[in-house]
Amino acid sequence: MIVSGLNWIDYLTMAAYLFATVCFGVYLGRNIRSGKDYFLAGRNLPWWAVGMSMVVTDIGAIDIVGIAGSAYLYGIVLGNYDWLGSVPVMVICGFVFIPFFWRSQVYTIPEFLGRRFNDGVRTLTALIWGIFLACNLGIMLYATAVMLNAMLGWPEIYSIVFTAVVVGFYTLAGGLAAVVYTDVLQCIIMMGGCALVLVIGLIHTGGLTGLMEKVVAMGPEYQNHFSLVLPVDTPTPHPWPGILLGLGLVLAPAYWFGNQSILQRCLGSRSEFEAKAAFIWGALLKILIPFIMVVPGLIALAHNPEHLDANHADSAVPSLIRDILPPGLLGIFFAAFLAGLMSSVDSCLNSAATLWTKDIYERFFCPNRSERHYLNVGRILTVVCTVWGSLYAIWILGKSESIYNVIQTMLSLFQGPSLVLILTGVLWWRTTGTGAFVGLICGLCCSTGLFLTHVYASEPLFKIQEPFLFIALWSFVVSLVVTVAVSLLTKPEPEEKLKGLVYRYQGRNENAISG
Amino acid sequence: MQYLADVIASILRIPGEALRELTMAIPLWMARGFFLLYFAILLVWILTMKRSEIVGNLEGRDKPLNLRPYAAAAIILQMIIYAYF
Repeated sequence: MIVSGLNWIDYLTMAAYLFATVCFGVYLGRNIRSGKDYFLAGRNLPWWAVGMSMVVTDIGAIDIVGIAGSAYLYGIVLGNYDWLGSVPVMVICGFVFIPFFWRSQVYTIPEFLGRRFNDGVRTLTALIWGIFLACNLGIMLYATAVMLNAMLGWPEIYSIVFTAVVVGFYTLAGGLAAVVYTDVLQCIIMMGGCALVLVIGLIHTGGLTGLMEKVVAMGPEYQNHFSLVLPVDTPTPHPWPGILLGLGLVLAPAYWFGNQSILQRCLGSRSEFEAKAAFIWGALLKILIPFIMVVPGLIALAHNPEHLDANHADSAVPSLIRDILPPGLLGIFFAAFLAGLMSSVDSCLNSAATLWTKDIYERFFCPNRSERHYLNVGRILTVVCTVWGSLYAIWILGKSESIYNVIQTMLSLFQGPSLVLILTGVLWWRTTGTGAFVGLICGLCCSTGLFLTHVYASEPLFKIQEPFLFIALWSFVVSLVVTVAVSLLTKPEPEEKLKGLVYRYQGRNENAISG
Repeated sequence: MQYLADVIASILRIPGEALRELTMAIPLWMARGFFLLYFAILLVWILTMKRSEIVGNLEGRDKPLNLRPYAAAAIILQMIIYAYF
């Protein structure tokens, strides 16, 4: 679905946005002198910028079109991924986990796990996250190219190279500071652009009440389109047990408590309290996301119900904006779309470079060198990751779409076990390094085994087509049981090692006001 | 590979089916109640947290900031959304 009708004002808007972003990123990079400046913005980031950056990092260009497309098919249940899947866990993370991460003054989450447990856990999680971020970078560039091709008709390879060059340039120049402050700009543009579609769309459908009446009147199969809680036997991939237990208790906490891309900007906050405030600010912003991203999918359904096919749902919102946005305003929506894609790609790129530099290069190849040295290595690895991501995206381009789906599913298999590491590591002093390592391995084996069984059995193991929520849940349970059992059978870690890293032996918050 | 997968699947389906039957027996209004209960527990936790954990200083601001009202507002809004939809 190519959106025609873009005029020179639209292209000028997009070009102005891109130019402003790149200049801003390069300007922010003028004071970078060390690895700490590059990877953690000198630990000088304000709460409001970190909060907005987290929100926009979580929302990619794929989400702007993909979530709305899924909402078109399945309804407002998609809102669960931003409401239940973000708001409560962000509040918990801000108050419970962030103080431990920030106080330990680490650069990466595997580094924190290494201090809490042992080098084996650090190396394994660093490799998993390093590979995940590097592959995810390629997937993001691929998905971006497909979307730009579908919506604007841009050739896919040119889109990949263009995005990689623009994002790689300002990330290379400005490091985390550039990523976070350009994210603020991108957050404003993205939310503004999507809100524009929401408001104009609601005016076209007679407001929220008119929208609900129109969709429900389409037939009995649309009765649940405005329900967040769907029955167990729903034909959608979102039954309530999977949402509540798989998403709410496993996938969402795993994402917000342990994702390097998200947490790196918090580690760069000015203080522990500013990191907490950033999470609460982010949670409040997150409440708005389903309204500006899920509801447009429902507006598209009421406006144009002819795309009711899983293969064409993603073209629902492009069709809507083509129909309802006047020329001139289309440019704002596409600037929002570019903002969404750039904010996710830059965060992934910066985090991948940080992780490979601090957890792999510094430990195994070149320890105890100057901060300047690690700054240079970080910049080189940013270029390497950009080139790798581009080549990987071009490679996926030549394969079938199922390759993309399989890679995405494979990448989600370690979420349950990695959550166990964070939860037991911070909350239970008795967890040992051996217990954590064995639990992680068993959890990975469980998720991989369940996935393979589901794929290869003559009758699929799970009743729903995409069982990632249930695989995450069961791998979490297995990993937790094994971690607890092995920890109880092994010698406890010494108290000195645990100080400031676990809840029982936590230190004081230097910015807190007591009373 | 398929034989092994079938054997494992046949074993796992027994507890899996039992759990599925169990969750099928839970009415949807009660399921919605579980979501609301989760938020209610979080709200109680936020309201009872120690002052030292939720009040602090932000750079460039004279008075200390209390995060409790904002965190509570986020959870209350969630409860309203899940009660309505």
